[in-house]
Amino acid sequence: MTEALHWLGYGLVIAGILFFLAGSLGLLRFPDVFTRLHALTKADNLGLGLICLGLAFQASGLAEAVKYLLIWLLMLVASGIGATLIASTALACGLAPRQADTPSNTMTSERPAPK
Amino acid sequence: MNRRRWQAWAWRLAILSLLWWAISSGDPASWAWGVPAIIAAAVLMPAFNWHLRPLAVLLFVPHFLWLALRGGLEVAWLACRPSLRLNTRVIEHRWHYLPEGPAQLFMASLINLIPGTLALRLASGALQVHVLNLHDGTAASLIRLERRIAALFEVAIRKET
Amino acid sequence: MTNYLYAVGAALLLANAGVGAWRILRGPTSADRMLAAEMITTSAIAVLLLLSIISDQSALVDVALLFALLAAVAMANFVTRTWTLLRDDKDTREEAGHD
Repeated sequence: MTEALHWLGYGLVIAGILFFLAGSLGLLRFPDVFTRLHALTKADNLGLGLICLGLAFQASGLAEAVKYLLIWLLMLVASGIGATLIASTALACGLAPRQADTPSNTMTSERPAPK
Repeated sequence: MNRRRWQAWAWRLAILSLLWWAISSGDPASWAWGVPAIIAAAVLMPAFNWHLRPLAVLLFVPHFLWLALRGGLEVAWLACRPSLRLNTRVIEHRWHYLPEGPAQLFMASLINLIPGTLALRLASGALQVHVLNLHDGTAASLIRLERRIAALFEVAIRKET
Repeated sequence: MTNYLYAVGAALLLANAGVGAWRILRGPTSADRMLAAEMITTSAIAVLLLLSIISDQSALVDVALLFALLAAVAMANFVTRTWTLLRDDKDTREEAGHD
């Protein structure tokens, strides 16, 4: 039984790392700050969640397992609220989200930083 | 002191004790510090007047995990796909059920973690939502989610107008 | 076996944090930098958790827990700072949005 849980834990940790990698691929490839926020809040939190769950399955005691899940819960709260805060701050600072089928928007969505 | 207040205190103490038990890794010796800390935290904690249904919360957790998994898979797939054609849009979600206050804030934070949506701005009548890859079911799924959250917060569901 | 697997995982996550550092350098907006910082925090927590297993030091889990708490505080700090900048005047407002 514990053997099976250990193997399940390995699988979850590996899956979590893969989600982290996909998230940073999104961070590199997505066109503007709003789409990048999507990539990070979803992929990275799921990745951390899977790693925490995987380690919780391998933990020696129940209290430790709960601690891993607590870490995940805190990050969920921080980034769930944080994503909206970053998005609305960016919006208030005049960044317009880039939308499909409006090529004119692509010019204004991200002005280059003044040198 | 009425019954509701006693209940609130019992919940507070139970949750704080659980937290202490977790962060002290279940070490029995740590309760000498833990009990005063828990009582101090319970006294100093600001009062919540969120009336959550415990049973609905328990039912909501697996649903949320499922949504989070789908959200992560979708965004991972979009990031790894060779062509980067996204149907990115900003839509308005009008509030159907939820009153102003914590329930709306909860939903705005929650939709950042579920498939394809990101809350941009919270206005009184509507929520501006940034959708990574808009498809036909997006608006309907937001309404379904709002209904579920309304059940969570004991909001009486009004008839759709 | 466990240690080897987790060491590789931790190295991958560190490379991941490197991507975040590149995003911080490149910007182009301060919102991008903030979200890259958040991503580095998430990766750092994952690395700490894996390291705590590798080196068998459970204290590192507590460090990760503190990181998670600080992430929430840092986020609130960024936003309140930008919002006060917003209220001040137009020049600093431009600065807040674009570096």
